[in-house]
Amino acid sequence: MAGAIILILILTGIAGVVLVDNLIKKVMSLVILNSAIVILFVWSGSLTGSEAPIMLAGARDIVDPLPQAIMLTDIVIGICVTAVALAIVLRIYERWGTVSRRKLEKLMNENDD
Amino acid sequence: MKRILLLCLTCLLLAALAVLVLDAVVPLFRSRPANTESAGNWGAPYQLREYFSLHGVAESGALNLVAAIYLGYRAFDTLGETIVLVISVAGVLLFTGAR
Amino acid sequence: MKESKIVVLVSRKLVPYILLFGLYLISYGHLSPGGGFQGGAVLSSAMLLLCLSRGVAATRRLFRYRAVSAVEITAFALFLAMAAAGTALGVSFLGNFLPLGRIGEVPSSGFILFLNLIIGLEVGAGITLICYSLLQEE
Repeated sequence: MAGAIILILILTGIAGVVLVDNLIKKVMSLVILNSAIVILFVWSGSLTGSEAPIMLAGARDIVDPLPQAIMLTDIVIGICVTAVALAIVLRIYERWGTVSRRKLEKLMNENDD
Repeated sequence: MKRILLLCLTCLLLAALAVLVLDAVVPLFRSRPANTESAGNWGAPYQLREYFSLHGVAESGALNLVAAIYLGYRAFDTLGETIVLVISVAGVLLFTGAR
Repeated sequence: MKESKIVVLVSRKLVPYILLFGLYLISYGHLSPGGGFQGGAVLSSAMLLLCLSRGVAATRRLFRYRAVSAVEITAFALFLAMAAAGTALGVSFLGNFLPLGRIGEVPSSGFILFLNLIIGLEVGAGITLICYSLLQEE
């Protein structure tokens, strides 16, 4: 059940990046894709146990802590990529005046000719 | 071209919905060692979990095993991540005209 | 962006508590869920609240641009210095050279506590700088 939800989220992210017209919504789809991959790794690590990996007194059946530690780094890298992408979209808006992909294609083709 | 893409995405979405329905209808029984101290079952995929639950606190001194991993056993990944953060901040400052 | 008095008042009362909670998450990172990255994100969310309610110019008068930038670069240099100190003192690169105290108290597992503080300050300052740059109005 969780695997199917993760697959649907990944498909939503990929479909959003390819098919949506607005540039800022494309960046949002990238964020959805990143979060779906994080959930995939943490879920697949949680199948081996039933408790949080904090070794208080009497903790026996803990979850696998390695995917969680690696996904911490992945979340911060997602924030960095989103920040740079939004800065690029800001510059595109300041230069061309629009954030729509079709209008940008038209304006850039007219500028080249 | 867009129609082929939409067709593939619809097929994958239908496959995801089929997996959802099957997962709710057919329960999966998974056997795993419940007691980590007496069960010597160190086969994959439980070997890392058993190693960390037996030796993690004593070797690094932290009760939080996730902190022990990303600052003790694998601190090099954290170093790379801080480098990525500094470079991305420099990139954002470049693109938005730092003052 | 027009200022709203309720939002400004509530954010002025809330920001110290958000900063305190972020510091709690950073310093108890090795005993309970939390750590450097999580506490740094909470610290930067307090700055984001100030930027969204009062505007970036007023926030930059309170937390100066050069101070935040200096905090981030100093934290990164300190991280590298602690990593190199591991090599200099006989343990491996990024090895634990401080003594492990009593397990279960805050000043224990010496190296991990310092690294959590350094990473928390760095992530908080970095995301604050990103917010200052992207939310500018001119």
